[in-house]
Amino acid sequence: MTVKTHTYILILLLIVIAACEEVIHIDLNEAKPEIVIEAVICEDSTLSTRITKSTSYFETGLPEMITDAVVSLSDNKGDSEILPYQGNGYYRGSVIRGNENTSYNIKIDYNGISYTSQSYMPPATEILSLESKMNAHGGPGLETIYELECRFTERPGLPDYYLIRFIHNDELIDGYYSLASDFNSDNGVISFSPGMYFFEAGDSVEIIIFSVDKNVYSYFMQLNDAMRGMNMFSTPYNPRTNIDNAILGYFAAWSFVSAEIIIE
Amino acid sequence: MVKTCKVIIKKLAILLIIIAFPLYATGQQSFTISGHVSDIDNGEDLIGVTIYSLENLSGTISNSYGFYSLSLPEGNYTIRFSYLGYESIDSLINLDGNRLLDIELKHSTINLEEVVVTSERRDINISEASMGVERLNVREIKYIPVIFGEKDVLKTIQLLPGISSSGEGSTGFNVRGGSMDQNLILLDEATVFSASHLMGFFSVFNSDALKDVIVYKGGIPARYGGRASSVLDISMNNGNSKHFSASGGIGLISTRLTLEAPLIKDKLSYIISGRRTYLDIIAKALFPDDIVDDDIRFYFYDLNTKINYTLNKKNRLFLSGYFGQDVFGLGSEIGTDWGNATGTLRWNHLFSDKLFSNTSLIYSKYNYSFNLGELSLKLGSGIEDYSIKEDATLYLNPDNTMKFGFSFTSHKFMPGELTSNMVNNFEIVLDEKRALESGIYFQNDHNISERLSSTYGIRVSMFNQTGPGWVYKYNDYNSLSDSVYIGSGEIAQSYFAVEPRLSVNYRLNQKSSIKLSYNRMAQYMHLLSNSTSGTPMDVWIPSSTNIKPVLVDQISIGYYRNFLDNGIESSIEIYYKGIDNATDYEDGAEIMLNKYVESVILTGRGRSYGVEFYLKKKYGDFTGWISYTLSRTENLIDGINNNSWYPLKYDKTHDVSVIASYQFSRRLFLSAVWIYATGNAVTFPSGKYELDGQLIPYYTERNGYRMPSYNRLDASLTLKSKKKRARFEGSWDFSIYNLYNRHNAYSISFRESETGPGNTEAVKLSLFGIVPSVSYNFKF
Repeated sequence: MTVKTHTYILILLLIVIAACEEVIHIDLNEAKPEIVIEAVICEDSTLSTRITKSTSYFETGLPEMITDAVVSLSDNKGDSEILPYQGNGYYRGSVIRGNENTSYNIKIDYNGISYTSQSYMPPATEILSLESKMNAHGGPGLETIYELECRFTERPGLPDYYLIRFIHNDELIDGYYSLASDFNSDNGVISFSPGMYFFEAGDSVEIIIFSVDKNVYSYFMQLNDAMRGMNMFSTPYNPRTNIDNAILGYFAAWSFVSAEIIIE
Repeated sequence: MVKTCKVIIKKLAILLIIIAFPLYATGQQSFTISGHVSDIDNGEDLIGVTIYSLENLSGTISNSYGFYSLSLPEGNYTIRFSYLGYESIDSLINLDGNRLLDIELKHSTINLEEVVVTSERRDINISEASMGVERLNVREIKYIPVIFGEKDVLKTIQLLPGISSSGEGSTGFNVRGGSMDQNLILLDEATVFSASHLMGFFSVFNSDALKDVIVYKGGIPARYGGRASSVLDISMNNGNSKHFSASGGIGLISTRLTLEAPLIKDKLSYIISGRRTYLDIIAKALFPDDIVDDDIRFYFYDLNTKINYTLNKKNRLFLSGYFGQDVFGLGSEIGTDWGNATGTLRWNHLFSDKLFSNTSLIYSKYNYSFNLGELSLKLGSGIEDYSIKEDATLYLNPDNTMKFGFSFTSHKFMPGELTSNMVNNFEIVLDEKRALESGIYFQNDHNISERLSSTYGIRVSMFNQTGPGWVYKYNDYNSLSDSVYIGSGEIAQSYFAVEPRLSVNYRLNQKSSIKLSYNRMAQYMHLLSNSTSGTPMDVWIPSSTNIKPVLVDQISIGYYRNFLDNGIESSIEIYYKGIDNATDYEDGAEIMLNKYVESVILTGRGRSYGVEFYLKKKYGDFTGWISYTLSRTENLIDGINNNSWYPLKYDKTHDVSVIASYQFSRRLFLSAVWIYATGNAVTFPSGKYELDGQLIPYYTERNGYRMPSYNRLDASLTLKSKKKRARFEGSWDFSIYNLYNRHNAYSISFRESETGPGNTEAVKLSLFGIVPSVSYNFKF
């Protein structure tokens, strides 16, 4: 339970007393369509970039795909390539494969503007243990709910940031990104429990831990806020991109490890 | 710094002597009438009684302890004591020496209208220099309908021009574009840090225990300091010094009881007043066990106490205290509570019949705590103040009343700690912060000529952030660049401000006047809050090396005109405020439990301007007022909204209140309130985009949209029961909140449509529909 959640409980209690919710029509301005860049280079894989445009908020169709951008990738070892367009907004590389401890630069030229970014791929962590345990602080009816605890290593003395995702019964959990840093490490070991998710006996759960740089970590942390929409604790905002000249999107280089468990 | 301080103080002293000297020099042989004015039935001091001579209309007003002093040349006078709702008394005096005259006024048993006809000072609004000030009679508040029938000072002041509500049903208020933390809220001189209960739906002020409420939104007198926007000065009752009396009420969600009595008649008396809500009890009764647990705790309570002791004609002591707490919890598993505690010890002393002094020792504390039993998770934060304060008034002559004094406060800030033994004995403990705040002031209420009067003064304030603790320094990118440890008692940062205050009144004729005021206010502490109406977890932090004090310069000008023999008052006031070091948070700022929170606070400029219209009928069976404010409040801060001006959340273009009360008979009152306001400024998306297979809202400007406009009608009917016994008074109060059941928007959120996946929709949440309530009040 986070600090914020219990305030929600308080408010909920009040709302139970008197609140009423209805879908309304509201007029929103139409923002000028803005370029959206989503670029990821994963360990042992080539760069995948999707370039689209933002739409009006109540738009029902697909976003506009950018098909004529020039996307190039280079690394700090002197390699570089230009990514061809592959359809559905995607540009994919074929030469440079992601490597730990390497910095990558992308450059996207579109409509006379150059969008550039750099991301560093930290080494993957090592998972020491992955266990499930019965939820200790549930209430009535929650006895059979399980939570996960994963212990993994970090590099003492170096800043480490992680993006953690789960595949629950073959389905990727989305809507929220779990994040961890070495802020609370104990002698080079981080204990992580995804407080947001609970599982039942017999479920299969795969945990994937991506090692990311600080900018990528911050981006996903802010993306969580953006996805929750209106939030009484903060003025809504766009996550801060790590791409120069752009407003929306990110470029990430990440390594990863994964482990699987059947809950029992 | 200290040297500059000394030079300024020296210059001020010289200035004071220059101002004061001619006043003494021109004074002719005169004598002083002084004393206390109180209520004949319960001995309560009466505040703001006008005392004047019918012969030359020279006069004064009783202070917040009921004391007055009036110096007149030798001669025969008829001195009139008049006060709204009381029978006036004329006293014939042959003034050939100083006179001590204590007066007891009697509640009028006849209609208000007939009483006030005899009073010739109904034009006080146009004769006094002060502007931007409103005094509320607590009895007046009792007839104004509010939600759940719970009479509330803070909700009543929101109906005045220039003061707006920060949210549905909320006691949070904004004064002339100031944020909630820029209101100085005083209860018997003690600062109340968080004035709300139950997420802001109720204020901490139990109106049974209160005597007088005065709110300053402009032309703030020099004796007040420390907040940038307004002062709300609330006085508690002293306690009945004549006989035992009790009053109370039983309402839908709370019960109140007040007991007061003399311990030594006319010398020593006490009052104790308590209130407790029982929402939890109602919830348990209304909902089955599986929804509302039997172990639930969900209530708040308040306790006000005061003892006053009149040692002799020259010395009085007052000891007052407030304690209130909100409690929410479920068994031993989860619990959270928060509340204020204040205490004030005051000593009134008359050095002479012209020099009145009050010395106060003040304590105030606010704390918040939360714990989750199973996880041994504990969260806490708070603030604690100790102050000493001296205020003296010199009633030099009928044309000059001088006030001067000093205050000294030691602040302890507890910005928060979170501990849990669940994961590796996890803990985040933010350092306590300490600061010393001091001020000295002088002011003179000066009747310069028959037409021109003025209140002018100056306050010099100083703030020192002291150790022990770490001071962090940040570079231009707001990243930590250095940290320095400051030892106990060492000064990390000092700030110093000279705050001039001025109000001028020029009386055009018997019916109208023009007023002008200017004030500079410095505020040295800031509330970390990113919600519109505040939460109990909001934390105070001091000004520091990184956060400069907020400085506000306000200028206002007003035209006042009375109609129908002063039966109707009207005014127009225009104000402009310039704000230096206005703050806001950068995008995505984490303000809770953040050791480096100062790095996410951005500073810039602010401005607020507006015009306020006010029309009030004070006397007769039909009373009420209409207020309308047209205003704008905005900030310009680097790093927010593409570095361009943006409105603040609580900016309300239009704000209208209409209040009407009608007294059908001595037993039956009907009153109604209608309010209309532009919706708060909010940030809505102006587009959306796809990322990682999800739809993300795209925002283009901060606070660029408006919530739908807000309007609501409330009504209440008060029926006093027939008098069966001499002293017993009972009354039924029926009220309806939101009479036409308007679904005002509390929030608007955006989500993926439930009916059409892939589409997005806006959802409005409204809190209170029509809410009827009933309560029974008694007094004997």
